[in-house]
Amino acid sequence: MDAEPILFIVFGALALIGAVAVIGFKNPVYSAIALIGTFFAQAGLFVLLGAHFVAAVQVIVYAGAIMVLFLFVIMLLNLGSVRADQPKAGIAKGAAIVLGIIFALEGVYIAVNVSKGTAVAQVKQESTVGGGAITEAQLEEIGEIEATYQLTRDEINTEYVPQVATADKTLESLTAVEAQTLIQTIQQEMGKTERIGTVLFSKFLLPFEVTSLILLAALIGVIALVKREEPKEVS
Amino acid sequence: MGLEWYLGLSALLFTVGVVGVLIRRNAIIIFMCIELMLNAANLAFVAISRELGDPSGQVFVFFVMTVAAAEVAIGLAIIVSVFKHRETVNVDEVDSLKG
Repeated sequence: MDAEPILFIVFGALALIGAVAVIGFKNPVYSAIALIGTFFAQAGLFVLLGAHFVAAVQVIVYAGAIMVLFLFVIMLLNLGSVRADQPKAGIAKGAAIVLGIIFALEGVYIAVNVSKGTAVAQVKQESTVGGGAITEAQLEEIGEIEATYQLTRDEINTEYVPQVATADKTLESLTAVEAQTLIQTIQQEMGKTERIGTVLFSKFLLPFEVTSLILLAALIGVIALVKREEPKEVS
Repeated sequence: MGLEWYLGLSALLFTVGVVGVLIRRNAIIIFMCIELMLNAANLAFVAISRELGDPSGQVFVFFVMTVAAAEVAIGLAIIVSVFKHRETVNVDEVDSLKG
């Protein structure tokens, strides 16, 4: 746990440096390489947040597929040494940077305030856990977890209860503190592929199917866009 | 590490993307900056997802990535066909739609 701040600073700094390099380099190929660096650093941040599946997809889809597409187009258009891209003239650039600073301050301000709000909510929640047996609210929360991840009570009893208490106990005989640890254990495993998959194919099944329509539309659109108009006389 | 650090980093990355879109004229770089902004949003999604103990945020990241992939494919196809006709990817020179 102690390593998290260090790793956050390392990955966060790498991501920011990469992002600034993307807009700093003249040559688009260098920009693309810097962007790949940013994506890898962000995958590291996702791992820190416990989102292992998302981190893997980030590397495979973003750093792999999307950036290869970018590099491919840059090479195809032979932009390596373009004349075109002088930065914009003084006034536009100055305005952009001033706007950027204001925007960044705004974002950080909101970030700090949002987390203050949730921090208060969390303290309230934790303070209600006292000694004694498992509470109604906790049972309800575990019920919600079961519904979200499609776990059965048996699975929770055999897989998770032994992690927080002795193996002969069942969910109903846990104490409130043990039940709280159990809820946290399950929530920490949220990023597992199995959990994400369950949620994706139950609660988000319709959006998932709509996604395939978007990809189909993109596919047809791209083919229509780049189709060569064949000249009438075929040689 | 608290939520505010991740959200703050996300805001900074998003800002870098916005500034990039405003100051660069190469259409491909502008596209990369849009990817940066989408990624910053993804980071905020995952951070809040952990904070609330709700997996929906991570599923949303999955959808954002799909839309980003579709968008990049279409956008790059448009850039390629613009380059074929105009021999440039400078957005200031591609202004035929200007009223």
